[in-house]
Amino acid sequence: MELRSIKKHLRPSQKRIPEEKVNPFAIGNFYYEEISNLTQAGGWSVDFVNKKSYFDKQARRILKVPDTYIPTLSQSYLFYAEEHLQKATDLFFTCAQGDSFSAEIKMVTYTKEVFWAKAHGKPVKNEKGEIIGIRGVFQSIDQEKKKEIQIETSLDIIEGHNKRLYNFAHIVSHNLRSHVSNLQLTTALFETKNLNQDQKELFDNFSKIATNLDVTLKHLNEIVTLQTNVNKEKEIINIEQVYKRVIDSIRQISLQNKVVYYTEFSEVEEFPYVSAYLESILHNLITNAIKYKHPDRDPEINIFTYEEDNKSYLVVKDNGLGIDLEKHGSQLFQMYKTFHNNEDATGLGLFLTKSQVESLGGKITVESRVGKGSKFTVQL
Amino acid sequence: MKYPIEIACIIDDDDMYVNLITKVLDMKNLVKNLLIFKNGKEALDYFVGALKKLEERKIPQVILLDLNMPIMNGWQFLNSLSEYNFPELKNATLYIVSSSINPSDIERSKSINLVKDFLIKPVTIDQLSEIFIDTSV
Repeated sequence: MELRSIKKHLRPSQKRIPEEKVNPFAIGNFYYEEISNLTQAGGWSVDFVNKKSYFDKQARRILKVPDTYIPTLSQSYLFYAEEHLQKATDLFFTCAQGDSFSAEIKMVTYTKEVFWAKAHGKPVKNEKGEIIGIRGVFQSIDQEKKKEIQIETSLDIIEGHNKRLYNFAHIVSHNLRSHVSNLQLTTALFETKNLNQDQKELFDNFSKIATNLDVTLKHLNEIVTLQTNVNKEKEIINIEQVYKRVIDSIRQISLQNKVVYYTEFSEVEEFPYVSAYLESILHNLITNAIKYKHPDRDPEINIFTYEEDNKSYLVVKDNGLGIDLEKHGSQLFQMYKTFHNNEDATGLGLFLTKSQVESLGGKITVESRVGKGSKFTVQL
Repeated sequence: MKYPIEIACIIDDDDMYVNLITKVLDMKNLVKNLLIFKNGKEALDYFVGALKKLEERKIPQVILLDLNMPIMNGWQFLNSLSEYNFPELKNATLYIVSSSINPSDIERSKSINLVKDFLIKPVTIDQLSEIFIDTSV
């Protein structure tokens, strides 16, 4: 059908029809009704002069009132949950005095079902500015409110759970450590000079076992402490200051290993972080770089910050042994996985570092080539 | 025989630990008179008794205090003792010796004047020697 033909068909009849009935965008009943349907919000009003109350179609539907029901101000209390009756009274009162309100309130349907509602109200004034009534809209938010309460309850339960786990870990580790400490003292006091070679070897195991137990418990404690400190407050940290502190603390091994440091923090000098974590992360990455230096050359460690796509990054790059990422890549940040036969390798360092970085909402990645070196990038 | 320390005390409910420490101290001849208290209350009673009677000679020069004890724990002992405010206590060197590696415990100990240091068990033989010899100087 051609457009012109359609127009013929739709030629308005002789009788004039009010624009709102034809133009869907004319302000009037249609728009209001559709919004009301979509948002499930009902309108109400109270006329002080004529002593009349009014519920619109949606309001009646939400409150489940029968068609014959005529609302009155004196009966309005029936629609509020008992514990919120005072709140409703106060709201209406303040509104009648001239202040509009917006509140979440517990209401009751005609059929005695309780539900959460969000209500707005404004005073109505006559030409003289006198308040002659109040009116507003309300909406059932029962589903959302119930979900909100459920989430809060779950959060409380989880928090309680975590606290108990934390206490449990501390108590257990504390008691275990008491026993380990006694074991260590006992082995230290034991006179081994009267033992034969075999016996002595076996006895030495006691000492080693005790030490290993001790170290494992220390790790447990570190990790548990870390998990529970997730809510630590971030403050603005100056990376240069933290870097200086770390370098100071490892002065000896830096000198022993003839380490050369290059730093560049001008692009990102400060950022919100937790000082203790940053120190720990830097310390671990730098000491790793020194530990795994290449035997043929002095270690050179590059530490710098940069910004990309509105994100800040910290990089620690070295010219050390490098890591075979194909072989070990997936295990690099896991607990107790070591890849070099280094005596100092506890297997915990990178795991802790990753935990710390992630607990503050960041990411850590590594690039490396065997024989060339490694580059750790922390997205802050 | 000359001992670095005349009188010291251990306040700890772990019998095995107390036995071991006693052995170490004996072996190295670090103290002449070693007092043992099983909990804070026993220790407090002794201290208060001695200090009230002005028997200064009976106040231990080195005190090794555990934190977790029944009846009255380390913190309660320290609180009660500081309430008495005995000036003679200035000459006593008190160490908290605990298996606890809880950072909040360590922080808390820093805020108490009486405490010289927080030692984490196990205390090594060398550490003990150092403490007793250093204090005697």
